[in-house]
Amino acid sequence: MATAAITPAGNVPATRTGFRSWLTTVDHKRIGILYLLVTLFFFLTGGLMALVIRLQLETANGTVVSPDRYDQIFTMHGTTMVFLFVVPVMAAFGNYIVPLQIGARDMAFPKLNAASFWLLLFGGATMYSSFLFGSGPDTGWTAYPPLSVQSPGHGIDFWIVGLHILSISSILGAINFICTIHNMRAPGMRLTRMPLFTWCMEFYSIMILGALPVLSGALTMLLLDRNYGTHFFTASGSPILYQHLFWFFGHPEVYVVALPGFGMISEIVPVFSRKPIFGYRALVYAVAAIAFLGFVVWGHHMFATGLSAPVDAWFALASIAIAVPTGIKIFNWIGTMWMGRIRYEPPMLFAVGFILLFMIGGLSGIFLALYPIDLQVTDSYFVVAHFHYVMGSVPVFAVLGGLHYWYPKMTGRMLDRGLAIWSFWVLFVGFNMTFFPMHALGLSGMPRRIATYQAHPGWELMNQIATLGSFVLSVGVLMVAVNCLRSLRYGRIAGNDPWQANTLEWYTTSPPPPHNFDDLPPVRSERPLADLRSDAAILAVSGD
Amino acid sequence: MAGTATLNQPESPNAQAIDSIYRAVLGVTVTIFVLVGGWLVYSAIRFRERPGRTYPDPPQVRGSTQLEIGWTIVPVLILVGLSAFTFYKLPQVKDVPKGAMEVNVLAQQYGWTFTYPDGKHPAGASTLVVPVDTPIHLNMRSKDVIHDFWVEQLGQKQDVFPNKTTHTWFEAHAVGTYQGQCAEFCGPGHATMTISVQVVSKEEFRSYMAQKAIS
Repeated sequence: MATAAITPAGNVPATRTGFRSWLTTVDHKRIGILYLLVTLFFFLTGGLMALVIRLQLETANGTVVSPDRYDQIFTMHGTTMVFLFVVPVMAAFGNYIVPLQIGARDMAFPKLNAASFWLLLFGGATMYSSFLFGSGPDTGWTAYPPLSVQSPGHGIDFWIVGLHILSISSILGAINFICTIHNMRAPGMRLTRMPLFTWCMEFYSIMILGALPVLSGALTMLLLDRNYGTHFFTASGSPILYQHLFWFFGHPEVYVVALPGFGMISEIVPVFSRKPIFGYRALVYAVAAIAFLGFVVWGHHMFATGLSAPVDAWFALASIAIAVPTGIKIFNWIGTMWMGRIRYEPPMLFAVGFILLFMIGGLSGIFLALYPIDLQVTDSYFVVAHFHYVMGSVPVFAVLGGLHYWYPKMTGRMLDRGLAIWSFWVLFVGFNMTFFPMHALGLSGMPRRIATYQAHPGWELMNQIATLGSFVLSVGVLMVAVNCLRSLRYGRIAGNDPWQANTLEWYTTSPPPPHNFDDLPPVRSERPLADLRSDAAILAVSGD
Repeated sequence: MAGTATLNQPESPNAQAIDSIYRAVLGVTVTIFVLVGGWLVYSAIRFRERPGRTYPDPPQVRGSTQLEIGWTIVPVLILVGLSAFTFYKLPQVKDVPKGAMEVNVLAQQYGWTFTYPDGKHPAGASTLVVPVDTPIHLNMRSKDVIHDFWVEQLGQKQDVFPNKTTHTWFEAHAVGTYQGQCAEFCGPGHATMTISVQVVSKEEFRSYMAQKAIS
């Protein structure tokens, strides 16, 4: 059967490339690239703040910054990384890739899509503008009252308003993804043939819709407590209520970040193992299970508040239950590699590194779910280590894996392979040097969020290893940045499908034209391009 | 100083119970990491494509229901085992022994005030003096924001709130000074909000309480 042309080539409007065309664009690919540039800028900003934190803690009684400044820096490090980098960077890839993967012309609501992006930028700018008015937010990214109600100046108010804007941005984006995925798939692409990254963006969006409105409610109450004399969380109100609301949002947020990362790995591993993904349905069910369980485990952030025994028990059991679908994903990825023919192109290296690091983060999570242990290690550097192995390995290894994988599609050029492989190893060593010693620091009693510490046996050495590691990590990030910039001009021309990949985005040109596809191949499985290749092989044989 | 892979030397029954759960979980998780991580690294190396060789297409296996069921059930069993052990040990962590000495604790930015049943306070800022081998029950409240009482060798953390009383306990089995500090971020002075628990012999404690040094 011949495939119908979606858009006659003659009717395509001339592509505009000027500066103004970027400001006014509603093309999902350009919006995706704008998202990517802005979120990577915030990543560098958050990373610089992390370096200040590491310098301050390098020695006992550090004096690099004052305690006040330190508090602002770690607050904005966390806020920036969570709200301005790891969540919206998924929207960057989602924007660019999802319409292409499902064979669509654009997102369902292109103008709404542009609005989501500009709100992200304004939200971030609002938050950071507090520093221009004399006081940054200084209560940690969790902003627990009563401390956050008492915090002087308007740093927290800017923070709250900025987060409101970011929430609206994410919610609009999530609605857009869901509408796009449900209404705009190519003919033949049933839900059971949908690429796994798109599946993960579906659950990312559902979780955002469930979680962020609750955060917005809590933040509104906090704003009223601070400025209009209400007492939702202070005096006769309840500080614990805020924690319940915050973590009802906060834990799903972890999976909002992790699921698209899982999706990227699920795209990369089969392509570079030259096999179909092992257990496609099991992986989708596992993602669904994680998304559901993510909403019923928030209390494990609150064991030290003294919840009742049955509530503690529920949150412990529900939390460790997440290990099961997470394990299924890992086993299926390794199952895909098993007996494969693995090509070590950079995306695959990042994917294998990610699986290993995420396993460490997942296993240290069991310590935190079994709450007597949590009562010792929560709010210590053990937790800092744990969530960087989870929330940090996703952006550094899964997202950079995704970047190395899709960069040729986005730019039409290949990244330098040698430099990419070197940058992986530098990042891998730097990441482990930075975060692994933090487990030991927490176990030996170092609390998180302390601006200084007294001389203590062992603490200084481990902090120094972590500080050195953070600089190694930074070198790795710079290497990736240099590679991306250099390859724009000097990279080898990629062609439509440099990886012999499986999904529809590789069917069109690199970069794709504004209308994405001139025509679409038939979709008979979750690997339409692999089907196309095997059809061609059969034709070649029978044609002899 | 403790080893880098374990909690600091526990000196109270609750800390010891947590330590035993910790060691069980450490043993299981390290084993899982070695097995699964080993499987990953083995697969990653064993099945790599080497340059200059030609390979047949790998088997296009799409999954295996038996394996999926297997690697769902085995982790469930392991987790059930770990949970059961945790709940078995839980009373030793949470239950306050009978006949404990009651001490009231007031936390504020950035220090701790301890009050004995007779209304006296120990001498020295943020210092608690208690007898050895005696269960101590702490009734804690905050004057301002949320704090957290944590002396690692003497057991679990407990948050301290302004609007409700929370409780924790310990029973030190060795004489000495135990250092701890506030473990819930409470403002710019958070890092300086330390706790010192001095555990003395029972005789020494009796004479300490008789002194005028404590107000």
